[in-house]
Amino acid sequence: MLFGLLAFGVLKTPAEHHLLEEERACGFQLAQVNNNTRAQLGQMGFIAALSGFRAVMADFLWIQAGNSFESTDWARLEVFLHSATQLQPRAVVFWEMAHYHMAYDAAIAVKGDESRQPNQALRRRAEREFHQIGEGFLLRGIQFNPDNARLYECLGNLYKNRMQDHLKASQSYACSAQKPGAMGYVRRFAAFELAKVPGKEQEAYEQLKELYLEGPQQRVPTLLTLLKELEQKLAVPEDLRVSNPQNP
Amino acid sequence: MALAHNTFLELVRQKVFYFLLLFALLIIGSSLFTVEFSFQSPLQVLKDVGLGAMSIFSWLLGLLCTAMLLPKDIEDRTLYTILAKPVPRFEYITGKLLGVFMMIGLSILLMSVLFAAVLGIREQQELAEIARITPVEELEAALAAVRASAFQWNLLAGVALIFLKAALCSTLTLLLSTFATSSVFTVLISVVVYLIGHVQGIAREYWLRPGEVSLLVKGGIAVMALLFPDLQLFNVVDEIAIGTKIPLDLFLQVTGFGLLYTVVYFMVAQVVFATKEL
Repeated sequence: MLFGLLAFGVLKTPAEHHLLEEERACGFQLAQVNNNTRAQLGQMGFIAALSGFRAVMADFLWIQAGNSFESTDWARLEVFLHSATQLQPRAVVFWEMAHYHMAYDAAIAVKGDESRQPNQALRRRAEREFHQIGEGFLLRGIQFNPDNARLYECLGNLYKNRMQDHLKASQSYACSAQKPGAMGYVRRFAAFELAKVPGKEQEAYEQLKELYLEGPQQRVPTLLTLLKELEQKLAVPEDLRVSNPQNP
Repeated sequence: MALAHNTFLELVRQKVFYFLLLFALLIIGSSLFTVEFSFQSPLQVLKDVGLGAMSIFSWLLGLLCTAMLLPKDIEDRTLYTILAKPVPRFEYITGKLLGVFMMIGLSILLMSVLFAAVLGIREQQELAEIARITPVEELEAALAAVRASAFQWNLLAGVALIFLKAALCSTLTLLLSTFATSSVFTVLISVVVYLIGHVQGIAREYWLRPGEVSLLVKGGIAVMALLFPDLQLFNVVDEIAIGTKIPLDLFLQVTGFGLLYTVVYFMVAQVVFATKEL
């Protein structure tokens, strides 16, 4: 009987492996339960996470992250957010909130916290580090959720508002625009950000022109102003300018 | 079928199961309050806790029901009375297991109904709250987001796999109880098998990966990977709860695997029971 079971095992093992790979390809079984998670969850929590209660354990860590956030313990918050996102990597809201807490809440808090760090240069450095941590959360989130428009949009916002990297911001918005469920404005944002990159004005102008020609729904004030500015900067002939009311 | 029906009725009459069921229902109900502690989407926490509770209680119910079946019948001497009649051992054990499956099915059905009701109530509360605080131009999108995070038909596939996993674990428990000497031993070993089943996938990957561990350890891991089912394959409900769609062919493959495991372990249980000296 034991040999029978072992024979069945020999047959089932490759099939199990194949099914696991197929589940992963469909977005399942992507969680990483490792020693860091074990340290956060404790022995019982770790066993629970391995025994089919991963989502519940991720929620538990998320609630603990909330406590760290309230006590502005940013280092601890990062550890909890890291473990929660590892346990539930397909939960977009985890990645989005984790990046926001790091790149915005924590970064702004350390930048202005003179009581913990009197040296302004060091505070600025800490702020940049938190921006990078936030960026890391989004990049990892995108690895696990490559078709999610929202995470790319958040990445664009981060590069634009916090890291002042307009080229990367433009690329991120452009990626977001290609994903299902993208917001209508991200294509415009991609062009707006590209217009801020030295040497990319012509490319930005082409994109803005294309958007303009799509119809009135795209002709928001920022787009019209930018078009006009770029036409002047690029010395586009009057008869070719889309912002000229004389032209069709 | 008569044996299955009787087993089911017998199990329903046992107060311990009512207690466990009530406890499961309370957990799902109490998740309404735990959502207040999370700064994530409250409906998400509700779904995670509800489905997690459903998973653990269906497994526990199946485990306790099955572990008591044979020892109780032997103790009451009912087993001898039944087998003295023209009832083959195969039919006896099949009927017993089907009775347990019916019990698990009923429990999951009840838990699902309560879970859906709690989720529905919570969804309405969320929608009302969103409608109150959201500006008109963003209202449509906000309401759609709440609706999308509440009940989805996809969840039924997750619930079906919870049933399948509980049924498989019960079959494994039945297999253990055919050669175990007491129900305590069966329960303890079944819990260990449950844990091993969940780390089997990790063990299998170590086994198949070249190098890293010694041959002796590899041998041990190989035996573990060969003898036990990979229960982790059935844990797709966590992702389903956050909106990941399970393709039909993948669902059918996982279901097929579950049924295959159940049939094989049941057949082994049959063989052991058929040769058991009573």
